[in-house]
Amino acid sequence: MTRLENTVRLPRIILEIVVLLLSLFAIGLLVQHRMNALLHTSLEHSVANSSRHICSVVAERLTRELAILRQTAESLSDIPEEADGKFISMQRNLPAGVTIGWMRLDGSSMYGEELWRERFPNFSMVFRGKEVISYRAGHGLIFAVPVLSHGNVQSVIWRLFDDTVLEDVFGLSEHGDTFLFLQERNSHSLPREILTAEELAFLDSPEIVDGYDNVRDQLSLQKAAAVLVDGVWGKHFLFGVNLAGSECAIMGHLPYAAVVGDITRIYDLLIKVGALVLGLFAMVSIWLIVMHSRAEQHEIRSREESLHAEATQAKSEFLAGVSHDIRTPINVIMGMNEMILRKTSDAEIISYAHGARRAGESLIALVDDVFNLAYMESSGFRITEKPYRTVSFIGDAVTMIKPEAIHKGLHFIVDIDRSLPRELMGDCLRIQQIAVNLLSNAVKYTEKGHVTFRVAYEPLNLDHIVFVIEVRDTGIGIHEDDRSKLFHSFQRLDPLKNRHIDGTGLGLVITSELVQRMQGTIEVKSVYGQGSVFTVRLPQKIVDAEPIASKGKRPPLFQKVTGTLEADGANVLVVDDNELNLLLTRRLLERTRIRVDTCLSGQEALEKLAAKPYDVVLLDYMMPMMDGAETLRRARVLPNCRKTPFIAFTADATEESRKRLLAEGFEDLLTKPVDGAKLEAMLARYVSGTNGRTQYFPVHEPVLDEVELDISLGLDASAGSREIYLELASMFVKQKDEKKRALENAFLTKDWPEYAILVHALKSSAMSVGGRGLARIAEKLENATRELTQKDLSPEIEETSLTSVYAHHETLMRYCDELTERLKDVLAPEENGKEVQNPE
Amino acid sequence: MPDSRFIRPLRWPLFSLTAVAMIIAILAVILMFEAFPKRPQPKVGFITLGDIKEPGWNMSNYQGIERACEEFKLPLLVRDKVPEHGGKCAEAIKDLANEGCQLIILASFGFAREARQTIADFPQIAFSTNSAEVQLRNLTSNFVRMYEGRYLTGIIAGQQTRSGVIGYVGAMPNDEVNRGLNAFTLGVMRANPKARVIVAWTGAWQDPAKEKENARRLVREKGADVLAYHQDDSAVPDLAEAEGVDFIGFNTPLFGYSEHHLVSILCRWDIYYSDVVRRFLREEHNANRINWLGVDRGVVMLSNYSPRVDVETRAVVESARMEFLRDEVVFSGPLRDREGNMRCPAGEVIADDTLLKSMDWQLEGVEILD
Repeated sequence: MTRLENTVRLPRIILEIVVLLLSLFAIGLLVQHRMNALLHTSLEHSVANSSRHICSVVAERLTRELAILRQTAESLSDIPEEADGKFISMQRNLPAGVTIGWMRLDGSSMYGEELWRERFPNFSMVFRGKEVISYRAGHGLIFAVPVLSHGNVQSVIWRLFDDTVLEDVFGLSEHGDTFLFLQERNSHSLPREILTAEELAFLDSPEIVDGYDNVRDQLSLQKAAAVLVDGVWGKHFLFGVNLAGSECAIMGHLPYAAVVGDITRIYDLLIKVGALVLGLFAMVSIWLIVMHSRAEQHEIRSREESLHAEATQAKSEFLAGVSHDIRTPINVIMGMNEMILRKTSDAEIISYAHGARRAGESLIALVDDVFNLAYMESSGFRITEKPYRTVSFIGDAVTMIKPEAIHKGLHFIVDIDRSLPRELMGDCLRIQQIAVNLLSNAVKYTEKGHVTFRVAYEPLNLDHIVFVIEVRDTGIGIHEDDRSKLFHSFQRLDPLKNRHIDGTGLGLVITSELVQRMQGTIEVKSVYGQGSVFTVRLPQKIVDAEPIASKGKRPPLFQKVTGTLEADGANVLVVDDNELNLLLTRRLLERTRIRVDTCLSGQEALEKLAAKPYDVVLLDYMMPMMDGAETLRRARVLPNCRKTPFIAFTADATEESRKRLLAEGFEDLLTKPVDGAKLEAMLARYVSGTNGRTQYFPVHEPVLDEVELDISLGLDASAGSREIYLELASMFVKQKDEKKRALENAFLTKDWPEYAILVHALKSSAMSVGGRGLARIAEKLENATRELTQKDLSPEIEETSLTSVYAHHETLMRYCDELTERLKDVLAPEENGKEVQNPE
Repeated sequence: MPDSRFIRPLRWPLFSLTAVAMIIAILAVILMFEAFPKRPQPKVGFITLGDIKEPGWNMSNYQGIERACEEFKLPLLVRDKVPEHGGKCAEAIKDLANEGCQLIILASFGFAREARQTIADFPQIAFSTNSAEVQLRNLTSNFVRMYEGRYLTGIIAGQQTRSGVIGYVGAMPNDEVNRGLNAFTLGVMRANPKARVIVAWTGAWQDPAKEKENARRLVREKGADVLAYHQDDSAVPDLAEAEGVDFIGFNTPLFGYSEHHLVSILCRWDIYYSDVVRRFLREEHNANRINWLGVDRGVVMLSNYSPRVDVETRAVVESARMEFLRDEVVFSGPLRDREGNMRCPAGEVIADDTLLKSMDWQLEGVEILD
C-alpha cells in the first residue's frame, strides 16, 4: 500500500463510519417513534378491550334489572286482580332517585308517574312487545317491559333511574381511576347536573370533545373503541363501548399512567439497552471494517511481496547463471594475459598486458558485483563469522583501492585508530567488500582532492565494539533528492554527469545489503558538489583486544609460506573442457617441472587415469557430458585411483559449493581464475618430494599512505629473497638524501636532461623496494623532463611538461621522505634481529 | 485464485446494494410491524336459492347485500342456485366459513332449519336469515314489516275501488300471507269501510296459471276492480292489465304497465342489509334474536304512484306513513277474526312475536274465494 492510497482510504473509512452511525441513529429514532406509536395503538386496543369488560359487567347488571322488571310484568299480567295492589306496594319501597310507572298504550298512566315517552329514544319499541333499556342524559336510565296478554301488548311498566343513582346502582364509577358515564349514541349530551365543575371543564375542553367524537365515530362501526388524547390535561385514554340491546353507550376516560403503569419504564429500559446494543454493534462493525481493510491491505502487500520475491529470485538465479558464464572466458583471458606478463620482458608489451589485466580485473569486479547481489538476493547467502585480523582487513582494502586513487591524482589519506582491537570476530571478507565498495565509489566519483579512509571504533561493551568505517571524499556529492535512491538496485545518480564513470551501480546496494545483514547501519552525509561521507557502523565481537599498534606484538612483515614449487617427476592430470584453460594451467606449472597431462573430457580423463597413476588430478567441475562429480565417482572405481586426490576447478567459490564438493569426495577446490601462486600452493600440499627456493610473501602490507609501499613488488625485484630486499631497502634509505639533493639541484638549475637521468634512477630504485607511488611519480617526471630535452620542442608541449614537472616535483620529494620512513619501519624489526615468524 | 483486480471494482457496488437492501428491509420490518396481528377483514357470505342474475327475490336481495357491502367496504362471497333440502346449504356454509366469512346471510326461508347443525358448528360466525323457526345463539332473524306496506296500499285500494270489491291473490294462509292480508284489509277499511276484500288462495308461491285463474275469477265472478297479490311472480299484474283492472304491485318495481298499475310495495334490501351488516360490525348482531325493519327505517316503501291515484289518496297514505314514523302500529285493538273471536282488545296491540308466529287467522270481513 502506498501512502497515497492510505490517505485516500482513511477519510473513506471515517465517512463510512459516520454514515453507519447516522443510519443507526436514524433507525433508532424511527424505531423509538414506531415503538411509541405501536405502544399507543396496542394500549388503545387494550383499553378498548377493558372497556368491553366493563361493559359486560354493566350489561349484566342492566340485564338483571330488566329481568326483575320482566318478572314484575309477568306477575302483573298473570293475576290481574292482585296487580294493582302489588304495584302500589312496589311503589312504596322505592329507593331515592328511582321512579316506576305503569302506563297504558296511549301513554296515559295507570299508576305512578306520568312519563313523556318520546324523551327516551327507542322507547316505543316496548309497545311492539320489546323490552327496552333507554337512556337520556339529564333524565336517566329507563327500563320498560310490556305487560302481555294472549300475545298482545296490554300495557307497559317502567322503572327510571336518575343520573344521580346510576353510579351506585350500576357501578359506573367502581373502576379505580376510570371515569364512566352513559351517553346516547350519536349524542354529545352529558348528565351535567351531576358532574362537578372540574369534570365538566375536562369533558368540555376541545381536545376531549374531539377525542370523544373520534370514539363515537368508531363506535358506529365497532363495539368498542379507545383513543389516546394528549392535551392540557395530560395524556388520557378516552373510550366507549356500545351497550348492546340499547341505544346508548358507556363512555369513559382514564389517565395514561393508570393504563401504562410501569410498562413505559420497561420500554425505556428496552430502548436504552437497544441503543447500547446498537452502539456496540456499530463499534464491532467499525472494528470489522477497519480490520477488514487492514487485512486487505496486508493481503495485497504480501501478494505483492511474494510476487516481487519470486521475480527477484528468478532474476537472481538468472544473473548468477550469467555471471558464472561470463567468468569462465574472462578467466581464460586473464590467464593468457598472465602468461604474456611472465613470458615477455618487453616493457611495452608488459604495459599493454598490465592494461589488459586492469580491464580484466575491473570486468571481474563488475561481474562479481552482479553475482554478489544476485547471490545475496537468492536464498543461499549467509554471513559467516570467524576471527580475523583487523590490520590485514585494512591493509587489503587499501591495497586494492589506493593505486587507483593515486592514478587519478587524488590524495588517499588513511586514518587508522591505532587502538583498534587486533582481532575481531566477523565476516572479514564481507567487511572488506564493504570498505572496498565505498572506497572505489569514492575514488570513482572524485575528480580531484582527496579520499579519506578512516577506520575507528566505538566501544560497546567488554566483548563488543562498533567497528566504524568512514569514507570521505571531495567528489561530486549526492543530491538531497537522490539519497533515498542511493541504495536501490541499478540506480545511478546524475546519469548525464556520471556517464563516463564505469560500474554497475550495484556497489552501494550490495554494501547496504551487507551492512544490514550484519546488523549494522550505513549513513550518508553529502553536500552536492563538495563531497560525501559514508559511515558504516558494524557491531563486532572482540577476539583479541590488544591494540594493533602496540609495540612488541607488531605483526611480522614477511611470511615464509612456500618456496616456488619444484617437483620433478610428479604427475598431474588436468581435466577441463576448455582448451585455453588447459593451456594456461600447463604454462603456469611449467617452471615447477611437474609433468602435466591434460584432457578435454571426463571420459578421456578416465582413460588416462586407468592407464597410469597420478599424484593429483585437477578436475573441472562443470563439463558437458560427464561433469566433475560423475567423473570422480567413476574414477574412484579404477584400481590406481582409489586414493588419488582430486581437486575441483570451479568458478563457484561459495561456502555451499565448497561443502558440496568436499562431500562429493573432492580433496579441495581451486577457484577460477587460477593464478600461479595459488595453484602452486595447492599442489605443494599433494605433490611429494618438492623442494625449492624459499620465497617470502608479505604477511600484510602496511600501505597506509600515498607512497604505496608494495613489498611484494620489492620481493619480486629481489627474486623473492628477503635478504636482498632488505639490503636494497637499507641502501635506498642511505642514498635517499643524496639523491634528493641531486634532484633538487637539477630542478633549481632547470637542468632537465640531468633531472631526467636522476629521476629515472630513482624510479628504478623505488621499484626495487616496492615503492609504487614514488616509482609512478618518478616516471611521470622522467617523461615530462624527457619531453623538455627534445630539440624541436613546441611551446604547447613545453608548457604542459613544465607544468607537470612543477606540479610533481614537490610530491616526489615528499614521497621520497615518506618511502624512506616506511622502509625504516620495515627495516627496524629486522635490524633488531627479531625472528620473523608467522604466528599461525 | 482469480485476479482480484477484476473482483475489486465489483465489491463496493455489491456492498452498497446489500446495505441499501438491508436498510429497506429494516424500514419495512419497522413500518409493517403490527403490535397485534391484524384481524383478517371480515367477509360477508350470501347464500340464496335462485339465480342472482334473474329478476326477482334473489336478484333484489343480492343487489341489496352487494350495495351494503360496498358501503362498508367488505368483500362479498356469493353462493347462489343452492337448492333446499339437499344438504347443499350446509356445504355452502362450510365453504364460505373456510373462505373467512364472518357474517353469512341465508336468504331463503328453509335454509336455517335445514342447516341448523352446521350453523351451530360455527359459533364464531354470525348468521342472518329471514325465518324464525330456528333459535341459535349465533343466528338472528331479520324481518321486514312488509305488512306495513300492504296497509298503505290497502288504503289506496280502498280509495280507488269503484265496485267496492278488491281481489287479493294469496299463496297460502300462513302467518306471513295472513299478516299481509290482514294489514291490507285494515288499510282498505281505513279508506273505505264498505269495501270487500276477497282472497283467492293458489296454494303455491309460484303458479302463474293458477294465479291468473284466481285473478280472472275475482274480476269476472266477484267484480273486483282492484287486484293485489302475495305471490313470487307477476302473473297477476299481467292478467289485471289484460282485464283492464287496477292492481297493486309487490316487491319489484314493475315497468311497462299502464296506469292500472297504481303503485308497488318495495323493499329496500340495501337499507335492510346495511342495517344487518352495521349491527354485525358493532357485534350487536345477535343481541336481538329477532329484528324487525319497516317503514320507519325506510326499508319498506311505495313506488311512484300511477296518475290514477289522486292527490287526496296520496295525502291519506302519507299521513298513515307518518303515523308509522311516530311508532303507531298496524295491529292495534280491537281486532276480531273471521269467526268473530276477539284477537286484540281495544287499548292493546299485537306483539311482534305474535305477528310472526301466530297470525293464523284472517281479519273479520275478509272473504275467501271458494
